[in-house]
Amino acid sequence: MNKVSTRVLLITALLVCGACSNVRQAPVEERLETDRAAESPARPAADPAATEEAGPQAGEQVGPQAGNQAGDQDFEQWVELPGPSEPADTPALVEAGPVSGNPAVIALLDDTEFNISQGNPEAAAGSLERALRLEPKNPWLWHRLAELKLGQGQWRQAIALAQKSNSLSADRPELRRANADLIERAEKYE
Amino acid sequence: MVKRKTRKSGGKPKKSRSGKLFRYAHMVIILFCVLAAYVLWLDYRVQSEFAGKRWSLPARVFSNPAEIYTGQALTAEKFEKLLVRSGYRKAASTARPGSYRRAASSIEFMRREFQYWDGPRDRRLIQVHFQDRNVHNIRDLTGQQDLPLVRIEPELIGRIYPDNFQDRILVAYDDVPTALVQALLAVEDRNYFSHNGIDPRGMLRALYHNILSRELEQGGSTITQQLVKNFFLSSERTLTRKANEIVMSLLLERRYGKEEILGAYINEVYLGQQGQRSVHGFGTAAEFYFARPLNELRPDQIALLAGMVKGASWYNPRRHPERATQRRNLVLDLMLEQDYLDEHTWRQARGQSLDLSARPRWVSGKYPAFLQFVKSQLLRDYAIGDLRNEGLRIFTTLDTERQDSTERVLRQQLRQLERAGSLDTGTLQAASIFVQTSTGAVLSLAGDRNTEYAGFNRAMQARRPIGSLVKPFVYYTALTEPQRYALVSAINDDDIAVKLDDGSSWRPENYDGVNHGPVSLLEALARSYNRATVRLGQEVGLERVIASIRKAGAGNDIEPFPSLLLGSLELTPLQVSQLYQTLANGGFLVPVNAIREVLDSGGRAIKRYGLEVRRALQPEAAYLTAFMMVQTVNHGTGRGLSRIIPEYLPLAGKTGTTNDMRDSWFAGFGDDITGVVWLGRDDNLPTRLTGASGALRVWGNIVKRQEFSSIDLLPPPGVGSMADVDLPFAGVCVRFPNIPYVLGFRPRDSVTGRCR
Repeated sequence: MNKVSTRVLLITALLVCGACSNVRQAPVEERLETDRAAESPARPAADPAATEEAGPQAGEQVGPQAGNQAGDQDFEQWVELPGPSEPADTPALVEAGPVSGNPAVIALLDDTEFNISQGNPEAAAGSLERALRLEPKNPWLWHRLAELKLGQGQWRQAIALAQKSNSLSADRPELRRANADLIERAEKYE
Repeated sequence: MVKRKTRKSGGKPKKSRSGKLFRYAHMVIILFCVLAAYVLWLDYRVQSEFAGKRWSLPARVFSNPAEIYTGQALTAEKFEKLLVRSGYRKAASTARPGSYRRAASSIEFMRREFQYWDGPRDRRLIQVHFQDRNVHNIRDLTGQQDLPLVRIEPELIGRIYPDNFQDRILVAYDDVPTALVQALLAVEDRNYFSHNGIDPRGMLRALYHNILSRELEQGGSTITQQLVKNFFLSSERTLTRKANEIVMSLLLERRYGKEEILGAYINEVYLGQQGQRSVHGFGTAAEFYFARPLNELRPDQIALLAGMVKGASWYNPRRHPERATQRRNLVLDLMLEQDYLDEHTWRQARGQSLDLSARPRWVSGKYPAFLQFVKSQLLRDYAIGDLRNEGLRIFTTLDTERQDSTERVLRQQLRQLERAGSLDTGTLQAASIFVQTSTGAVLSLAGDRNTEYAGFNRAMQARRPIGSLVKPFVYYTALTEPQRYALVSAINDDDIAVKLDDGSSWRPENYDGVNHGPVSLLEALARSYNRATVRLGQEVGLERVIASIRKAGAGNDIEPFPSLLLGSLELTPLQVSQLYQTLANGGFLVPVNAIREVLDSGGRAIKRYGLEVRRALQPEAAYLTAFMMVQTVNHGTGRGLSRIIPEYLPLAGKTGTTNDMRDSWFAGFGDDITGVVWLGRDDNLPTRLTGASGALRVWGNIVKRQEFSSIDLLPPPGVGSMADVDLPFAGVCVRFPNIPYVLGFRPRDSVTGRCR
């Protein structure tokens, strides 16, 4: 797949997603109850039904691309289109241990995953960067951001972020493997 | 002819009578038509201008919102300071947004509504518990849940003004406090909701008064008329204008609802002046006089503002407090008289002091240097007109607490340095930039020792030779060849002559004038030896050193003169901060940035400036260079820091001094903060300060008063470490607990041998 056609597909997918979106999200500060109930750090995707109930913002669209939010079905479509993004290795890494001991970082990661599930990668990146400001030396967060960028088709950023994650992963071979894998996938599409 | 004549003469009187009538009717019709056309035209104007009325709104610039999270190292005292900084007030009750209450180990506050990039946060009562100097728990009392983190609304740090210097914070009619509507009705137009645009009784009263005083003193204008006057008409006092005003008022009322008109009035009315800037609308006035949003004002404060409509400068409460108080009390009396207030509230309100904010919170140029950087970044993406008129909300990275403390340190340290060095007072200048290493976000920025001065911004504009600050990049370049150079490799510090293009020779000298002979790379950088550095630079090649500097993010047009190796290269402090950000960040360049998000006036996010990372330098060599810079502070030219901030060691740093001590530099980094300080004179005369005696001291004192973490050097994969190495260092044998090297290139003991 060349760059142009990928981009066209991606844009089309986003438009399609935007057209059929109606899922709302409560801001992370008010979504803790849901997070605690789940008791698993950084679940891949928050439960939209549960988050709807939390906070008074349910009922309002938030985020910069409220129009681009999408339901679960669209999400799968969206992830497949850019090609190289395989979300499969994320949960495996999560199972390897908690990615952070800081509940605020966990909550922000949860928010990230929720935004991804809503087809709103820009909002997801925003939450992830907020987490990175709190834990700038957490290589898992950099890896996650690399994946996100890969999903958005920003190959070069994805590679740089995976390299950054690597430089902080001297004692985490599993993460280095994941980064190497991600870089390989990204380079294929560069 | 005769016939005609008779006929004519016979008919003439008759015809002329009817003709006159006809002509009058004609004239009346024409007049009517003209009037009708005129009214239609007015109607068109009213409609098009009122419906299309868009106020020019200045762009508003916000600081970085503080994030509070469970487990955070933060005391109740510090948190309280943070709240006060964001405009919160201590109160007995936390019912009002923007108020807080403090107990022994907890603080309860009513968070204000705020529109962030990722959506709105509503008004909420939140309680933060502290334990052992940490945030123990954050409880949302409104939603009955614990919160993992909470943001405190950022400070408004500046505005980018429209060309007409009008300042305005728009308030939606639904958000207007009822008390304000009542106060306005009471004092300006009591029949507002029942008249049709004009109030004949009111006008008669005014006319009677005017005839008595033989001057057009009173207007008797309704709120609608006042709005029409402001919107469409000049301020001259003629009868034509008055007629226009009446017609247009009637038209406006026919076309638009009472609430729409009142809403426009509330945002339009002129309520004060500060220098060139005029204050329009009650939302703006609330901020201007009380430093609070409109919906947080007390009845007496609302009455004060409503009273000022009649004459904002005459009743200016800052200049004429007594006059303003009298006017306020008159408004309160009218409100009582018209049953808008009960007697208790009235009495209470009348007894209140004016309670004005000390000075407008947003005095222009509180952080002029930072705002200039923000503007320069914005101008890459926006037209200047949009910035000034469209009411954009710009969220930046500035940490106002760090910024304020940096400014204090600069003022105090520069005075002290001038006194100690018997320099002329006020001649020494300064610039400083501190960024978050991993994100490139500017935390604080100063471009003048007098940080309120919005003139020459040295951080961005002063291009000065960087002296020894260039050296780490010479060593970095060498270390990218691990087969050739390691930290313990020897380099000769003997006399060196470099042949220049013009055939002459350049013979650099060491600062102490001493030949140190063969030394380790580590010692040569840590102690900033000139000859060893020039020799090393010649060995690896000037072009490659230049390439490294360029990759690290600065100096696109560096000329390959050998003197570059000792810092003849001229850069701004901002560019230097980029170079060191890259180095400190393990070789990953993140452009130094100040803006996170831009929202439009409706609160919709229109742009997010996401993190941009580039692998610019080799992580292994960058790590080894950072390690040497830690030793520079431990054992080398940066030793002075151990006297100022021993608690923050280890950290990495490098001093820089230029010829005749014209420039004094220090660049350094801890765990995630990189900072650069420059001192010098605008006339480029010697300062008698070295990097160590000047900029280093300022840098240390800035960091001393901030939250700062020592460096935790985390080697990237591919870097190994030798334990307990004895190394000759400055003539003695020093044991280093570890010395890193690039894996696969463990150095042979070339220099270390001499120690045993």
